[in-house]
Amino acid sequence: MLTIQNLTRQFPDGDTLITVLNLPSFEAPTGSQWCLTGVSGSGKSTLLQCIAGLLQPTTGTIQADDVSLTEINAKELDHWRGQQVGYIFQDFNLLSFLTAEENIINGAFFANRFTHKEMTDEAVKLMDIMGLTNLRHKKPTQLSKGEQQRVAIARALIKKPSLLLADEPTASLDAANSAIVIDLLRNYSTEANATLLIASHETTVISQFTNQLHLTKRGSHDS
Amino acid sequence: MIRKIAWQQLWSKPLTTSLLLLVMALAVALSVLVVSLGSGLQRGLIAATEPFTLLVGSPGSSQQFVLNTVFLQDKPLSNISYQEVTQLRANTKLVKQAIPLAFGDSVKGFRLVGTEPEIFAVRADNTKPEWLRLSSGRPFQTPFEAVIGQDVAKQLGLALGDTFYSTHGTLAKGKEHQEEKFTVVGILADTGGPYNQAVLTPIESIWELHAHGHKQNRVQGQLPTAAQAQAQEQVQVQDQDHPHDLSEKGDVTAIMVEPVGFGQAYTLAAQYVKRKDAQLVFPAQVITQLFNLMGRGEKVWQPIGYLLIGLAMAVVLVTAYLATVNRLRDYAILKALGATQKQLYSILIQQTAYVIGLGAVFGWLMGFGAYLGLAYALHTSSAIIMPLAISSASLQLTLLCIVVGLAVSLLPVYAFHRKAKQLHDIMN
Repeated sequence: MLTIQNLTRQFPDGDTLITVLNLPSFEAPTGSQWCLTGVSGSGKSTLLQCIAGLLQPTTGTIQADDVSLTEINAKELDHWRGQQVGYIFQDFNLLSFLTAEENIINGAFFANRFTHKEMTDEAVKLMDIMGLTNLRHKKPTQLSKGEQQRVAIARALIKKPSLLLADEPTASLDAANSAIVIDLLRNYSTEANATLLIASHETTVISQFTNQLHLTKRGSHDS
Repeated sequence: MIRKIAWQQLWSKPLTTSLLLLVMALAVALSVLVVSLGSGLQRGLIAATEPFTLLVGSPGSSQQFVLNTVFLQDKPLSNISYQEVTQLRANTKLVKQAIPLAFGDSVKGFRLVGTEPEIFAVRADNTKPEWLRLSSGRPFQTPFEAVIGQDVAKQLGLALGDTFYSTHGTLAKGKEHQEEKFTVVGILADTGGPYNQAVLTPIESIWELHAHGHKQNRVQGQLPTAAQAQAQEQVQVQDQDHPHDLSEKGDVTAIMVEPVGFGQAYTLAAQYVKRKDAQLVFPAQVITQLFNLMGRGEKVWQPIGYLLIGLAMAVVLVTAYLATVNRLRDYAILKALGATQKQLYSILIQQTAYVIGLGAVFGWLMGFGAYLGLAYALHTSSAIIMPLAISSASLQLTLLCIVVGLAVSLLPVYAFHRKAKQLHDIMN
């Protein structure tokens, strides 16, 4: 269960502070699938980064199962993120100096619970599922956007995370690739009983989710 | 995986990394070369003086005297009488052995050394074998027999029984003394020094040759033909390079003196201090003084070497710092994947360590390689043997460079630490 209470995040803007995120409460049961909606600047990405522990909230608490993410120290947060969180970025954020396969394996390395063989076997399996086998030795710059996004997803899934966070994962993809990506994420969530949170402003994506959290600049509500 | 990330990220900019490695390697190479040469050359030169405990000769530059007698370089000084040898041998309280040496002629550029058979019994010290051992043949016995150094045999293609003419003066293209032929009766084993390039012959050969040559030059009452005039002119030109006159039987250029002991050497030296017609030198001391005069290779060059390494390290670190700032996005991605701060620091340290460590190792190899090349060139040109052993100073320098480099590689880590809080902004 992911529980959020009175969460706000402010950023400095000159001499003043502006509130980018304001979420009074939110609960996502384990294995549930959510779509975060809202206009640009409503705090979707900020919320995902706060949940992933990449960004410290200004106020409020975040609880993931029995771990209070707003209370543990930075090192514990890194370990928790490495083991539990699969994060998919809008612009993929692959490491340009590693091959597709190495990027995928890199996703599992920081979980600290797999042997090299286990990581390699799992990477081979994921590349097969995602049609990346022939591209395993290619660098990100040699891949199309759709291929890069599939590598990024494989990198997020390889560690078998309990919490899958995707920030506009289909923003730079065409409709066909977009549908493939959403299917992949939802299938994983269902099979692994992992909580899935996708931030998106695309209606084709939003319409596929019954659980939606709508964020506004004033506040938020779920439906 | 951390090592792989560090390595591959480093080589994601191959040109920058290669240039950094090159800068580091060249600085270390130059320093290693300078340090090795400083000590190697001094050790090589001093080692060559070992068989020559003391040298007695005519007054003049002691450096020129040693260079000519020990290293077979430069021009000989004037001569002294053979009587000096006799007197030294008679001084048994101070002198164990005195061996005459006569210089001035050559064989196709190799110095002809007139001496006596006792030279074959000389040892650098009692624990070592004879300095001039024969690899084949026998020592010379009669005038115009020659024992040649191994380089002479190799480079002139001379073997036992072969004959050759000597040349007036020390230049390879001088006028040949065609009055008498020398016959090779022995070839020296490696002497470990310049005498690999010597042609040894009884001192009487030199005396006879010069007495004969001067007789020819002294023909009077006849006008020389054009060819004779030209030949005479050539001899005069060569005599400028041949300042001594060995035509008088009994003249020598230098005397190798083996004292009875250390104290006796200094007593003997004291006796020569007051003399104006002769000088006594300690060759090893002359070489040491020469190095002192030049400021002792190591002491002068080492700081320059360290300065070069310091500059190279500064270049590496500034570049590493800038690279760290440029790669913050990569570190932010790794952080999002679960990398801890410690793991990110480890990547940064490893990258700087790779550049400094590999640069230092390549630099050492390049520096030592250049030293070996120079040692070979010096050995070929002058038969001075610089030690081929790895100098501890060069190893210390390289190790110090690695240790200091690793210590200062914390600078990019500090830069990263200061920027770490911005990782979130960098990703967005």
